[in-house]
Amino acid sequence: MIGLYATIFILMFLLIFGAPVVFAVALSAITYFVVTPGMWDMVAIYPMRLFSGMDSFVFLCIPLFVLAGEIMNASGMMNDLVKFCQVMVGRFKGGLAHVNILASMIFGGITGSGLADVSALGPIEIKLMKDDGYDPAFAAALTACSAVQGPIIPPSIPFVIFASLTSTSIGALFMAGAIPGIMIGLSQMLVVVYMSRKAGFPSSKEKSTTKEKITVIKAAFFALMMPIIILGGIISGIFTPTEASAVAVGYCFVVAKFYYKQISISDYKRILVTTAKTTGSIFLIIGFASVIGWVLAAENIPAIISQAIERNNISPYMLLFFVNIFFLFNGMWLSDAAQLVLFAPLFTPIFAAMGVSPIHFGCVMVVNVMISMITPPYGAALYLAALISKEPLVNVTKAALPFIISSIVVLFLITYFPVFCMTLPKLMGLV
Amino acid sequence: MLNFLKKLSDLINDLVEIFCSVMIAIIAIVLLINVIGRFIFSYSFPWSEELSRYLIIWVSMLITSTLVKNDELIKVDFFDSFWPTNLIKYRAYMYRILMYVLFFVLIKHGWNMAISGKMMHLFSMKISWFWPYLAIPVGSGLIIFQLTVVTLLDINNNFLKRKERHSR
Repeated sequence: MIGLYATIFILMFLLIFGAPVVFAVALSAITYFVVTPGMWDMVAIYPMRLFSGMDSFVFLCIPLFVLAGEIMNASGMMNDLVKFCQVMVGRFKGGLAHVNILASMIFGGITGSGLADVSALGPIEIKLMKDDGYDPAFAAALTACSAVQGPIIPPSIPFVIFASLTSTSIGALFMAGAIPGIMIGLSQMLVVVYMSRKAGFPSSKEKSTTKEKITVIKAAFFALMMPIIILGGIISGIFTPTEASAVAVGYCFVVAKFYYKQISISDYKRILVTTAKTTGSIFLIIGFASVIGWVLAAENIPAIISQAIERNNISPYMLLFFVNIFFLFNGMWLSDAAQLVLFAPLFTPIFAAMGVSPIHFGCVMVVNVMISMITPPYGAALYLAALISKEPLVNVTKAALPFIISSIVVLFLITYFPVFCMTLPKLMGLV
Repeated sequence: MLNFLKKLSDLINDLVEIFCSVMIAIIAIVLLINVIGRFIFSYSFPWSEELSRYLIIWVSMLITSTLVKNDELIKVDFFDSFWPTNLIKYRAYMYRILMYVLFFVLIKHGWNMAISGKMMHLFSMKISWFWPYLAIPVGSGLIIFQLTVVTLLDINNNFLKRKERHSR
């Protein structure tokens, strides 16, 4: 057990000490082999686990969804998407704030990555909101917080990771995430409505004519078709999630090449390098975290937790509460991928034995770990939005607080009312 | 010497970026062709899954060296103000030393793993496991190289700064 304590201590220390997250995970994993008596002889397991942690066909949809998002971003499709949202909700008070949330909701149905959402929509949305008189820190905070929906609304990279680690149906998980993702968006819209009344946010200055509306809808047609193609294909069983991501890349490439005609060869080089870098960061964290996952299994942690639950007669609802708090706390330090790799295989069987559906638990866990994108100190989306807006992180974090709270309220709603997660998978016969 | 190392580091960085871009493009094309092939010709390449799986591991291991070189790895710097300034100054050196240990372990044992993989063959591609496993030691080697160059440049910059301060 001393090795496990040392692993956890080193992980926390290195994260607080400001070491890169991926290396903090990697170094803490190797600590176990160094500290535990007799384990150094078995250190050959380390590269083996690193390799097998990354070796998954399902994970291949991660680079491909990122690539599709990058192509969409560079092609100019995002501008049409934002214009479409402006036509839909821009006329309300706090119009651009609503546009920001709706655009993330739709974009979430395209890439499955929250950070892709911030980097693709952020520059457009933050500039528009700044020009319209919004506080730049608020614009950045809302951009980061609305991106939380992205990976919850299908397709979703974290759901893919969860499904792959727990052998759960990806289609069912995707469908389970749809309503909670939209709920997070709606809860943020409610916050905006309240703030609009208090702070007097502006509404769109000009009203668009029917002709203009039709033009904008036509222009956004290709972007809006993406979620339909991807989800339709996966749910109808025409293709697997990995194949769907390849189709998404093909679709984006064709639309960008023949309709938008904006991307040059050098743009493609940049797009591919960015995709490789984003993918590398995610895969390496998955790989190193899977070494820690092995450590947890070697130390018999799942059995220890199960025994503690039985001994203390903890109900599933109570455990869900504790686990939610645990994940929210971890989310302040660890990335979503690391948390999923470490804890999804650990807790899913425990909850399944207590009668909690893995689909419901998966949905709760993914919503929870996605909120970690906006919880300081390690809120990757907040960092990125602060960087784009050139606003101090502290101001952005303060402005994000109401949205963090509204997202946590939704988290507990879906935790205690499984109907929000389970209705769609049941209706579609996926569970 | 340092200039040569810097140039070599830039060259390796560019080559890695090109290799990784090509590999990502290959993965996307192969998987897309597979979907199209399955629908139109009811035929898919049996090796496409294995090729894509192992190429992405190569991409992940290689591209990390460029992330290290360009300091693009995400870190939590929220607590920097709580640590003594001197400690912050030498923090990078401290965790780099630990990273050297880690990646030397990965080179040594990753290489042993690759060598032992020579005896086994991939089911569809019919090549030995040596090639997929090789990603771990090669990627780790590149990470150590870029880490060394970054550290040497840091030391040099600090030395020059100190010299400038003294001359004033």
